[in-house]
Amino acid sequence: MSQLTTLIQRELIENRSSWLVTTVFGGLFVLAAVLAVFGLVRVDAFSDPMTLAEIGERVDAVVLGEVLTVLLVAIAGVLSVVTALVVVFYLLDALYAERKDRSILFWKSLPVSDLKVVVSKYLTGALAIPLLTVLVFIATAVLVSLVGSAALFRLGGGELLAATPLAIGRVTLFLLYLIVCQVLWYAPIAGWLLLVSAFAKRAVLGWAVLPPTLIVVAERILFGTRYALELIGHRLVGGFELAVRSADRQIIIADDAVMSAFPALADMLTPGRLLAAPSLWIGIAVGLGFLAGAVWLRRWRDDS
Amino acid sequence: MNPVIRAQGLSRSYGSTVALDSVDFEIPVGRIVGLIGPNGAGKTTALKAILGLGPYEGELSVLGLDPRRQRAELMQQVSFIADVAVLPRWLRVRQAIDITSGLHPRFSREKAEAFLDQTEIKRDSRIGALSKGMVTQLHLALVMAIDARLLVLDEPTLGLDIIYRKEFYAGLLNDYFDGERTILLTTHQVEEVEHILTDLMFISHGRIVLNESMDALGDKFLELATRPDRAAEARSLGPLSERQGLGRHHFVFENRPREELAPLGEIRVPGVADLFVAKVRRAAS
Repeated sequence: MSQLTTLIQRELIENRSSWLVTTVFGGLFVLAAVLAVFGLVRVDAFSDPMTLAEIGERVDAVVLGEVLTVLLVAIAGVLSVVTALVVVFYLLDALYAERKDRSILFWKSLPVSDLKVVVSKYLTGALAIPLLTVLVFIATAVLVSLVGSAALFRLGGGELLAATPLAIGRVTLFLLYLIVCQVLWYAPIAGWLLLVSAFAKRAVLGWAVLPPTLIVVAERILFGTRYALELIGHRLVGGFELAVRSADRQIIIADDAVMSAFPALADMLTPGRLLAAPSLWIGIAVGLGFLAGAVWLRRWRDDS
Repeated sequence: MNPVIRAQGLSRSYGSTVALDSVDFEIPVGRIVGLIGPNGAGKTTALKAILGLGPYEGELSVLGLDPRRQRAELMQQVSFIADVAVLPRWLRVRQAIDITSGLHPRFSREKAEAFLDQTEIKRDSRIGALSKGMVTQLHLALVMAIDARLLVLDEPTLGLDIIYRKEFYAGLLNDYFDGERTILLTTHQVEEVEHILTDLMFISHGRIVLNESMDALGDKFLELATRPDRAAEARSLGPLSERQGLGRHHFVFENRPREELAPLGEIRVPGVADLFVAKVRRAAS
């Protein structure tokens, strides 16, 4: 267990960009919030009826919380997309970099099984990096809310601060739920990326993308069908359709009230539907197969 | 006592090339064995098999373990430096110590720190910023801080300055080797390790052509230096090799009594490099 912790730490040291990039994006949101406050002050001078200040004056804490929630969901969404890209490139590099810089022989001189090494790299990509993103999100959300509250407080409406903890808590839970779903649903993709990373001599990205592309094209030409494409598409987006009930997440502004819109988590999350889907379990089995292949390659590949 | 390494019929082929051709050998505890051979002779293939890094056929037992099936277990007791400067460049010295300490149960942080204190390596330096000699010093410090029973070194001083090379072997002998550990090393620079080895193994074309202790070498091999007019006589005794020096012909003989050779000229124990050339040429022809 302690070996596994050390291995994951080692991954995070090597791939500092994995958490630096999301931190930078989080910082940008805070900066945007600060800029919005200054913009708000100017806009208010023209008494635009729908400024944040007016919203603060007219609606109660509950509705403000809803607005904040929708805003935080957007931030979480951007951070998630960034993290997904970071993780894809991390996994592609994970078993390739150590061969490229030839440090693999140093790592192999330590008493750690190849299974443990591959598992540590998978866990870093599937859990450690996304969980760091959650921390970045919480920090960003707290700062953005504080900036917003401070601005509203100055303008006479202090309710936002009271609504903040609940909003942040809800979105954090939502984010954690999505991470767990992604771990399960994207297991075959993560496994495939690690397999390519252990296999390719160069051009890892090409090796990752080319085979599925060729299969799709070949199927189209030979049979005129598009099952492979549908399969890949289902794997890319189908998980969200299963895990989350699609709901209206807009802020509706009508007359002089803000109608909210972010549905209760209990109404949105559908873990049962995801867990009951056979394609989830088939995907996990395929992912485990790919991971086993990556372990085998790291154990026996001899090109040093 | 059981040997540290026992190989029987150890073989490996790459396609149609035979890298190891049914090799048998044993390495007892407490020896410093030099595995010497020309490029492509099968040295690295043999080391890879011993370290469980590559597949092989035949029987091989290292510290009683099977390197194919029990690699992680084996690495608790075996350390190796595969080549210089393969430490990950993105790591800082301090992190390298932390990570090794976290992954290796027999690693002593205190020992590693003590070895590093003898060098000019700073703890906060990134490995990529160290000179090649310093990386080797660091690698050696990490490896020597591991309480291992077998240390395998594959060309450990390749590409290093003479000063670092001397220090490297001096450090091994003085601070690490204690008579209970076993060291197996390969190198091109035979002259540098000659005086520290207890045993010598020559490998050529995938076969072991010599496997002797350094003490026994003088009983078995003799080098004769004769004047040119006695050369024909010496040649008739079947030398392993012949080379011409300044006004002298040098012959290396295997299993020839000293009394038989003494009348022909001066006799001494051949240097490892000369012996190597003699044996490998003979094996090749």
